Amino acid sequence: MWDGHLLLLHRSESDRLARLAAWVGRGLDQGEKVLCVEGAEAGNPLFGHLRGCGIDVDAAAEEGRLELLPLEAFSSPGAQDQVVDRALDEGFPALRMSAQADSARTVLTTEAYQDLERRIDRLCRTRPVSAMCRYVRRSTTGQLLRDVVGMHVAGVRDPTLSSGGAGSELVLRGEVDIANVDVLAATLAAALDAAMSSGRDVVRLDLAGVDFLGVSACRAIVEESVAFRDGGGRLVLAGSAPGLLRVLTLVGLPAVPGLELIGWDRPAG
Amino acid sequence: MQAGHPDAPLAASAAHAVALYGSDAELRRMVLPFVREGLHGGEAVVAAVSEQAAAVLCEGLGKARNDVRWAVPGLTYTSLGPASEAVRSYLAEQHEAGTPVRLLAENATGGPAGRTAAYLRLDAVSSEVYGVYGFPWACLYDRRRHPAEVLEQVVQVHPLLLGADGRAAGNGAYVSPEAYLAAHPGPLSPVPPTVALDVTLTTGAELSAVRNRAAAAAGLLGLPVADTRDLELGAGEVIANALEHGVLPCRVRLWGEAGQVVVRVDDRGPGDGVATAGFRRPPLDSRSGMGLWIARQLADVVHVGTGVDGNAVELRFGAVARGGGRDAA
Repeated sequence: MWDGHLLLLHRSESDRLARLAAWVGRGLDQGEKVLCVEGAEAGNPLFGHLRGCGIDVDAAAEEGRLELLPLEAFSSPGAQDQVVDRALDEGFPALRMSAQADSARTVLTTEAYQDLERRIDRLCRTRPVSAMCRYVRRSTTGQLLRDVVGMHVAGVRDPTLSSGGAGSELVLRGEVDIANVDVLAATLAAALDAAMSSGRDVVRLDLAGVDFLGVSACRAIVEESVAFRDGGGRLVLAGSAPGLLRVLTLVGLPAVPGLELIGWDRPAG
Repeated sequence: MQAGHPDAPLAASAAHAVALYGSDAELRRMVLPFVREGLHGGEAVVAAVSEQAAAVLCEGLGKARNDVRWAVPGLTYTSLGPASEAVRSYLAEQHEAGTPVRLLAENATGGPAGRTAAYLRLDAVSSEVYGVYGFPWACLYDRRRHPAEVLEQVVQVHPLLLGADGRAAGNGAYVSPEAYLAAHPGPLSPVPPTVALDVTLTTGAELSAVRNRAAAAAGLLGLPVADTRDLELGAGEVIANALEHGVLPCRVRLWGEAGQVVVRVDDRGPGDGVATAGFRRPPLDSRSGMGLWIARQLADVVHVGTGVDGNAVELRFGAVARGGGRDAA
């Protein structure tokens, strides 16, 4: 849930700090090295917050388990691999790192930023590394949201929606309504794009962990999958919750060509 | 029209008829020709009517009673939105399968005052909503059970009347669904002084928490799990509409009444001014209308009222208490 290459879309400062503290705490509990990449102007307010969340920041920092790194020292090509090498040399089984990525975007050029995200993604897939890239939800919308989600398809963490899965499966958990339907749309679009470019024509959308799907979400599932389905692709919606089946059926998804519902329990009656 | 004779072609003209009966004998005279015509024509005759009416019709049909199906799958009338959707989806399935059907419908569950109004509005739009499937159906209303002003409206929403001899005749008092709905907006219930939930929202980010709080409050009021799920979805969509299309803030109140749970959603906007909003299933890609349509399929009663203070939507969930008057909340 909290590992891999994650995209944290935080709605408020308290949301950001709570999730960051949970993520840091998990890393420390597992004996990993935790690296927080901060802009130089940020100073060290983070430790204060973590301390407030009950994390023994001073001991962790003292022992090198928790470290702050300025963005400049982290973003140059090659620096990320060195950071990982150093953590492993120090005897840590794994490294987790987090950055306020939308601040980084304002400092770096678009190309440099995208390159950095790609390199982090590679590290998360090939080495014992977890990363959490943090974005302010309010200002991450439209094409920016699509770009950012596209780099974290299986690691989206919205306040009420998270994504996972690999290959031809996209797993969603939580709730989708008008507040985050754009996140669902971007996530599904990116997963289907990836499927199309690798020639997969069946994608499974696992909704078993979804507690609520509003009408807007149903519409997004249909609209974002048009190109995939028109190209002969099949999008399989798997789940079990009778409440979800109700909305999917009422909205008319079972009749949409190329959409298939499997594994749903029929509601009683 | 010569449609009343058992062997005369009636189906083509009997799209949405009403039989206003005042006695057992009258019920048989009005309705049995309609039933027999369907049976003779090889149609599946399906009747979802009150127990009393079913008994009277069975007696008149003799052995042929066994050829009539005395229920529509999923239809109970205990909650009007799901009942209406159960009939629609049944007709759609039969249409798809090419099975000719004729239907008898009668809602005898009663309930709070606004419920009859809600039923009449569904009955009004059914001329179109069910009419697209091309099957004849007749609604039964027992004249002894309804006041004169209700009976007057019953006549207004049915294009055809089944006469005392079973003949279907055109109805001069019929008004279009649009005109009927515009003239008869739903009566909003008074909000009790104390409610189980009273919250105000200004952003979509608050929606999830309010939905969950509403579901929890409904559960505490004793609403069954399946109805609570419907409330979460139906009320959630109405609140989403207010947040997206209304003038904020949006106020949500919830209380228990007559064994049901009532959710009222207010915003300060003028509403959409469309009397038929949410009565017809909108196309999947339409930008608006689906939320209210969904709410209408899930709730027992949905009333929309617009006044100087803004737009209000009242939704009632759960099976109505039988013969229910109003409980003090």
